[in-house]
Amino acid sequence: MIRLAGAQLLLFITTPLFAIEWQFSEKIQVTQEVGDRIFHHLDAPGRKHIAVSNDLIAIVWEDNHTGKPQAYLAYKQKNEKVFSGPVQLSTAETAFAPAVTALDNGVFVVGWEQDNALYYRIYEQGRLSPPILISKQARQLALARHSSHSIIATWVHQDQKRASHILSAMITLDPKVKLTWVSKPVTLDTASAGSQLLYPTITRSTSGIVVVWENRERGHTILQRSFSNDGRTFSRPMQLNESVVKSTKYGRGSGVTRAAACTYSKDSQVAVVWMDKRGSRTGYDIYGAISRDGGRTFEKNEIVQDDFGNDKTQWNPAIAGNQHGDLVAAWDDDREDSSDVWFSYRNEDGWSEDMAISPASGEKHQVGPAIVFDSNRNLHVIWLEQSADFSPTRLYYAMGTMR
Amino acid sequence: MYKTMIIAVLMVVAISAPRADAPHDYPFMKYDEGVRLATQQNKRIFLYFGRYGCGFCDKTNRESFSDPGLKKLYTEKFVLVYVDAEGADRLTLASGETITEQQLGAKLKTLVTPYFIYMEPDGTPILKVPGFQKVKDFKNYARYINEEFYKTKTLAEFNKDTNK
Repeated sequence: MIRLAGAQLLLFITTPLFAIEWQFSEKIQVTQEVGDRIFHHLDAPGRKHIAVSNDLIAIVWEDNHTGKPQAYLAYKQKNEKVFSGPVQLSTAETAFAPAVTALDNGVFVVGWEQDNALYYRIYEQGRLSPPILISKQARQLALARHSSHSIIATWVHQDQKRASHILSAMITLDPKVKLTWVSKPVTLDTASAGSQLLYPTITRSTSGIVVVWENRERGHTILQRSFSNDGRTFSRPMQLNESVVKSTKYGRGSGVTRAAACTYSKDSQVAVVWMDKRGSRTGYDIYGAISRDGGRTFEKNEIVQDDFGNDKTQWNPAIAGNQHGDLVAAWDDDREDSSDVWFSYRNEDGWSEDMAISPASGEKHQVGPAIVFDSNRNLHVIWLEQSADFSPTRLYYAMGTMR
Repeated sequence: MYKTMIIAVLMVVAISAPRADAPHDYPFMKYDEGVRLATQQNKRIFLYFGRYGCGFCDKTNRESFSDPGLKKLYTEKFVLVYVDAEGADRLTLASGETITEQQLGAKLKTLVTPYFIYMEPDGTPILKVPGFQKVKDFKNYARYINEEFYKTKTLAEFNKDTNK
């Protein structure tokens, strides 16, 4: 465990085990809309709140600075020191859980929840398309890039009998005619009526598409995964986490929640991380699983955080990878008394010792990271900062580089 | 005939399976609704943080909340609120912040479930109690709160004086 206090410019963090150095920039405040009763949130499934296309960085979040929760976008070029002012994405009285994914040439697709429905818009060269409906009776949207002109989306759909299902559809862009369309959604789960399915997350490898979600059918929450070659037909759901039955008399099993997934390496490996309560008395730990065949099968579950974090609860796991094979998981915990953002880098021998992200650590509370790599192996991080657990928030950004 | 019997047995098993929601015969309600009602009636709130499948929640429900005297006491004296520690439903705090049930658990540092919080009518926490509690414990906490000993004593001081 290594921790550096304060948000100093150009701090170096070294992992003795793997001799990788990380250098983080000074933090930049993403939005100046702050105040006594203003709260920002990063809580979309899979924590895909930041994306990079070419050198353009796009960030989405929800806050209540206009009096009601709404979804916003801000952006900046990588070498700029300030973000654009917040651009409102949502158009209803309230909106939640925006997500973003990048296409080529500075184009982004942003999606969010409003009016018990899901919408998306295309951002390109300072312009936003009108909102387009993805699905009604739907919530908890996750997005992933599928190709240079298409994304794959997944969400929770609630039918008229209040049963929930996991759906997926492709959103395709035709840049020549500035047209987008949503394919007919496909149902992934085989859940019985009345079952609760929650928080799907999605990633695409060169082999296909992987979707992971929470299922409560067995009386406790398990993670299920499904794989598709083409986004039109999905495999039968398989359990991803290893359940622990703690009592033969009481309850049904350990809890898992809030999975995040990404693809990494040229071989298109897939990684998933989540909060897992199998460790019992110390709350959630961060567990993960790796697929080396593009998401068709997964290896055994593995714990991500190091021993120094084991007696604390970990929250809000995020994960990012790139084609160079870099893979980083980030989360927040309060092992140093106040909450800080921690991360672990994975190499061939497993997950590294935990490192604090220097501008996202210190006396204040730093929580809820979202992370993404750019094509040059830079790690872009956003998080929320507050003076106490229930106090107003600020949204910050920093960039990390490996040496 | 056999098929009907098997289905009936399975339905009974499914209905009686321990799932660790709030105890079904208590008037637990959602957070927003509970705070609204507590403010209207000027009653304190008993907040139960549970988790779907949680063994100690199930144990608490079956061994403690099954007590008729405890049910009468808590139903009369408190507004009962249940929060699913892994839930996705959104609730609005007194500060105006709207968050998911799971985020409330993170803010309150709920390491374990069940986790019980006694609150003022406006949602301000008075006492936090983690883990399984016996009937006598719940009755003791209710007295500490309802007779307002918490305004002058810590729970440890109250317990020491009570056990003299």
